[in-house]
Amino acid sequence: MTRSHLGTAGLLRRHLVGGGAVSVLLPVLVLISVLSIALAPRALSIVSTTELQHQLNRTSPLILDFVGTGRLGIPFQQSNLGVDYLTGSTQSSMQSLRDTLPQPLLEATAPTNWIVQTPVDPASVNEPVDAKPRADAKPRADEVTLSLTIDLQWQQRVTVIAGALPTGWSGPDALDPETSVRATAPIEVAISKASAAAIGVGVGDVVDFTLAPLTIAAIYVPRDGADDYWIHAAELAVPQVLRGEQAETIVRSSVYLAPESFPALAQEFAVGSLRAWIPVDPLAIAHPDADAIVDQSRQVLIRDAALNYGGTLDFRSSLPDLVESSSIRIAAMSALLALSVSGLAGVLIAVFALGVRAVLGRREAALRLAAARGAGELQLRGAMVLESLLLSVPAALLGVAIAVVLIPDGTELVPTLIPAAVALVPAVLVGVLTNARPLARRRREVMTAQASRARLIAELAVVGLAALALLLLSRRGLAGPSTVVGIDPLLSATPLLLAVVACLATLRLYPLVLSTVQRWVRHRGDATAVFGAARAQRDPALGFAPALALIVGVSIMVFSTVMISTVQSALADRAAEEVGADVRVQAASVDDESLEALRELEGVTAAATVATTIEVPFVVGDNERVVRVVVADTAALAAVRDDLPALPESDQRIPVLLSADRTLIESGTPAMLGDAAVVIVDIVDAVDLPGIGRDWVLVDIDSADELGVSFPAASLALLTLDDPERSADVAALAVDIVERAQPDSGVATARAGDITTAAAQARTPIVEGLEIVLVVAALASLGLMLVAIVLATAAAAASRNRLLGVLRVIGMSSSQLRRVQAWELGPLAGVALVVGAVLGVALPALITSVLDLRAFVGGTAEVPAVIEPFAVLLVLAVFVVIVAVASLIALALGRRLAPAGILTMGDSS
Amino acid sequence: MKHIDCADLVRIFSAEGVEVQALQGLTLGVDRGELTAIVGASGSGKSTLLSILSGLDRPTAGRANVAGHDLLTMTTRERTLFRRHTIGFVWQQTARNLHPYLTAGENIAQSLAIGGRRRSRRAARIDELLDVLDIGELRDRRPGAMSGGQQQRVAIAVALANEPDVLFADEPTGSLDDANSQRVFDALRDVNERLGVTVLIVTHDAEVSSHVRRTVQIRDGRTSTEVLRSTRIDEHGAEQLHAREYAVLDRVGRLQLPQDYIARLAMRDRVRLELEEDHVQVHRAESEDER
Repeated sequence: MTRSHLGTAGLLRRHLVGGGAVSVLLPVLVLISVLSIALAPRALSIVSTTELQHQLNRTSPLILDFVGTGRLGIPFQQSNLGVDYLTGSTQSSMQSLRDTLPQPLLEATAPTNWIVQTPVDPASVNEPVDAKPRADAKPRADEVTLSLTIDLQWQQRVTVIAGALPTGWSGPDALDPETSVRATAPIEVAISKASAAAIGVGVGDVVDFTLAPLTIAAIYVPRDGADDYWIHAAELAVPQVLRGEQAETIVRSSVYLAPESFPALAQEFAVGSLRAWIPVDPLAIAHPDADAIVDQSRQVLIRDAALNYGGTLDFRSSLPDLVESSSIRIAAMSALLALSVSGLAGVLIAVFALGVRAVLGRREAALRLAAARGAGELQLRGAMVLESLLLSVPAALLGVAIAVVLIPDGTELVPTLIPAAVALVPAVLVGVLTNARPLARRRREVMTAQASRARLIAELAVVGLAALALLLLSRRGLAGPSTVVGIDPLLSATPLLLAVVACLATLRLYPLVLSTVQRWVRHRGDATAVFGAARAQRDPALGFAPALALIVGVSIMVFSTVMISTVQSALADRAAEEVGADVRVQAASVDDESLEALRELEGVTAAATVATTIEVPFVVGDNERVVRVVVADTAALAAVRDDLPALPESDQRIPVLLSADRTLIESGTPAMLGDAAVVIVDIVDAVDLPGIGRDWVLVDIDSADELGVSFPAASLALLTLDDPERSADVAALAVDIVERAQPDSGVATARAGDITTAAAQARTPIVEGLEIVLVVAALASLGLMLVAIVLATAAAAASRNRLLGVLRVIGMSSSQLRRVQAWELGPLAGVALVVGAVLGVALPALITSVLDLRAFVGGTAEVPAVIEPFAVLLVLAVFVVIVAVASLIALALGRRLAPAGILTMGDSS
Repeated sequence: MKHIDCADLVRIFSAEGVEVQALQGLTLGVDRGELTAIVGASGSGKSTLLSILSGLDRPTAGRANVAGHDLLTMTTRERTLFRRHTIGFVWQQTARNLHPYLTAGENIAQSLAIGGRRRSRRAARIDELLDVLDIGELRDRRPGAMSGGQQQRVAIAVALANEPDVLFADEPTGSLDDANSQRVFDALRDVNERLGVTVLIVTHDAEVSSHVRRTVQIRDGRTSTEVLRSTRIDEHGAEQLHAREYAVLDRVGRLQLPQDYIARLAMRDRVRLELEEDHVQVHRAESEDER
């Protein structure tokens, strides 16, 4: 016994509860889609910001920060003014430079740092007063140049490890009445530990300097060595050690003075240099602010920072350019995302439609009954819409809530709730798909012509929409506004419309294909095949929605696979282009012994060295330009770089290889390189050589002497490995070999690049984000296809079971029945496989031809779509397995309705 | 005018070029408060007639009038209101009569809710209906917990919820045993007598004529014969059942001869009529020239 509810609300509630398990499907679908729609822009925004910060973070503060150079202004009559007065106005100008920055730039910067330095002057170290040789005495530098630095905050930046803080210097002493010589009092200075060691001085030592002798009062180390201050004011921490022409060591450094010394040296500082920098914190810049940051930074750069008393400051920073190029990459990714997500939306809508059909199927009897009791169309549709809203609105709100908990982004309530609008999708579908006249006789009237005309009109409308979207897109271009993070509606709609058009075309052609198949199987005389094919053609169990889901689903999977292999191959190409080979070593010189040693390294299969000269005029016909001459053993080089052919020997003109646009010059053309007559034996398409660029002429080392230009020792070595994975290890060994062979190992260094490191560096957050999205899109479409197949097959269960009952009575065996069932899904799955694969391969080809992925992966070479047949076949095999699994699930569910029972149900089902 | 009044009803279904004439000029009149059964074999057109009378289908031609509503000219909105207030319906399959997840009381309440009755007045009406049908104990039971006969009686209560003028029943006893059939017929007759509702039962079961006063036979989309049943008190004071079969004569004078008459007399193509004083004789065409 149940207590009866006689109120309308209670009745509706009963109606809902009686809906059964299928009703759970809709809220689950809504929950998942709302969650993904709510999470996607948040995740995209996070990836964009991470990418931006990654790009900024790997840029040196010297380039990133707003670095100003100029001169300090001082009042004309300054001699008797205090240090606070003299530097105070500069200090306050510096502070206001930063404090007046608008948000969000203000947030991303730290207070201005500034130092003022005297011009660099030579200095010489006097013997210490006590003349005792110190135990840690080192060979002194041959030459020392110094500048004096004033930084008002210097005491907070350093830790004095020896001596005492320097005291202020008040100027040269008065004239000594006895000797009539200005006995100049020394200026007390503080020097960094590294500079002191390089110069060879200790506390108390006196250094001769142009202005006045300097006494080393203190030796310090940076308090925080990681502070970017020490990058901007590097010479205050570590001396610059140079090698002169006669291999003499030149040490260049700077020392701190007590700020109180400023008034006495004001004139010196006025002719020296003023350096100020507004530090930029890359981690404080979020991608949504990118546009504002670019504008505001540009304003800082074009604005003249006029200081008091005629001081000037000129700011430089690459911040706006870096942010802009990041934005372009992010826009490229957004475009790619829009393209791949759009298809998913199509599959999702198809699955929603199938789910709504399933729910309505369960409700059919109830609707018929209510209609017989006099419920109007409005009441029936209203009840069903209300039901779907009651099911999907809480699920949608839950989805938004989960998204907010997972990734809180602190936006307002209304925009946060927008994804919940997905709850309206099933409600609208229910409103449209509800059969509000369930009592109407299902006998078909003669209206087929009318119905087919309606279908044709609907299809033409979709084709027209697709054409319009393509037209708009071709007018506007693929990329929308650069910093808009999110899904571009036009870009999203276009591929989906194209996919729908492909589906419509497929469904139009499908019967033709089937009738061909039918004719073919009829000849074979297989009863089940004939029957199955006839049924598939005349009474298709699956309609437009599953066809759309399968075709678009397969195309998304193939699209994702092709895009992943395209991006990966583009990154590998980019790394190869950047390194020039598997490993590259650059140094002042790479001699032949080093080259031999490099060749001996384990894993190295080929090695070649390259030398470049200065730029030389190159004349072809009337055309004269300046190119760099690259000299190499071209046979060895060809072994490393198979795109650079070995040059033949020749007695006449010197054979050269030209890197240029192939269309402009033909091979075999004679030319003049400097004063030498050469012949262009081959042309390669504008190839980038590391450190050389794309404009060069390659000459074999044997003919190089005939050129009449001097060329230095080879400075670049390129290595090929049998296993490129080991390139980082080999690069480390190669650097060792080359460095040891340098003429002076103390100073000269070698740099190496290797292909694995370069490839790893190319994998920025955005590339990883894209790969994740592509994989997720493929998996999601797989899951949705599974649901779609189960729903569609289950929906056809009643008619299938009736049919199977009849066939069983006729005497078909179980295996024959299984074959008949296979014909239900098989042809559609086969068509979806072919059409989806074609769409999935065509779309990346289209994208790479219209969307410049160079913005995305970097590099100079165009990015072609790369199809890995094995991967694509694997994905298609997964699809086939999923179809098989899904139909088995659906058949198992459908079999729960016993065919015998269905046969007796007559027209009531 | 008759309470249910059909004349020359024609309904033609055409699908893929094949025309099926379900009703071929059917004429039927039922008075207010009458209990009538329509009997016909499968495919005779009785279900089509019921669909038309209950406003679910439109006739191709003819005249159809139920409780003053012209079924040919009604709009969709009027049809909905017609179903809501003018007629009640009981089907053969209980699944089409009752929501399985609602109790008897709730099923009736749904009809009342659709009919726009206020909540406070629903309980009283439900009790009244259950009382009329003598099924008060089923009020809070779901259909699954009832017998077939009980379900059909609840279905009758549901159909009567909004006080209809006419009650249609399509094979109401089709899936019931004899005892339960009897109870359902008793319920229908009781409702007819106590509430004065016009009842029209459609069935293929010729036995039904023993339960109702008037039985109309449909054949090939036309009414062919009628059986009128009456009770008389005979000379011994005992009640006697009296049934007489009539052929139906339509407006233009057509009539169907019973199939077995035709078979027995081997009548074909043509017959010869002879007008007598108070009747008409139908003769087989005997001679060669008559044939």
